[in-house]
Amino acid sequence: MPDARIDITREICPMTYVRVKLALEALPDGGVLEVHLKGAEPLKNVPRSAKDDGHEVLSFDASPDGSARLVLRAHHP
Amino acid sequence: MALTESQIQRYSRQILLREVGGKGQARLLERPVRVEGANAATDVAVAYLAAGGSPIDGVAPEDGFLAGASLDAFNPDARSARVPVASLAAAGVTPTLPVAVVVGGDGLAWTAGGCPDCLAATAATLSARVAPADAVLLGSLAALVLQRLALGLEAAGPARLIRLSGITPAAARGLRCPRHLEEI
Repeated sequence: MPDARIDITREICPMTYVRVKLALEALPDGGVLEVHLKGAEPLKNVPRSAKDDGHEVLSFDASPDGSARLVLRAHHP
Repeated sequence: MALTESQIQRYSRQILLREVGGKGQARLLERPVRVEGANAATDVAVAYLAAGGSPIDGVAPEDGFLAGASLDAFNPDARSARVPVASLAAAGVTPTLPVAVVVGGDGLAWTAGGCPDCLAATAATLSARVAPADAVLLGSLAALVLQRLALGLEAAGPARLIRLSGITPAAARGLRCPRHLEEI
């Protein structure tokens, strides 16, 4: 059960990862965020940006329609 | 202090930086900079600081692209009723706050809450007049230092000095230039 969920399917890069970053910051260390995203750029950039910021990808499930469900665990130093 | 939607949009690129994030952006918005004295470089620094979300305590620059403009029109976040926590001073003017950057014609001196006499002695070695050609480099670097101080990225300590002759892109990025960074 995630601690928070966000839908960034209507956002345009770079606001896609900005929303995810702010949502992760709001979680306690170890908190779980579920992200609904859509589009080639976000599917490629959001998981990678999250990892670059030190967070953990728990799962990533892409659908045939181009959307995906990404589950992240927040890690705060 | 939570960011408004318009702030999230305005500062989105800055928020994406690892050193900043939403928390860092909120910190910048809460830490006004007092401008003391003026030269071409402080005018440039004020523009960068105001654009980045630091409230400015002092008059709008008389020179540069913000000349004649109101800070409110440039960025509504640039005005604040809060007490300033850092000084941006022109060489020859003694900063009144413990966290300060002094900008002269040949470099800048700064301290993250160190001894004020130390900063005054360091800053006294700077030349007062800023050549227009150097104003953008010195001003943008001064703004960067103040933002880093507001974000808590620099350790408190004695006054530090950066001389213009030693400023390379690498030095500007990391505020570290072993051959030219002089410290007292």
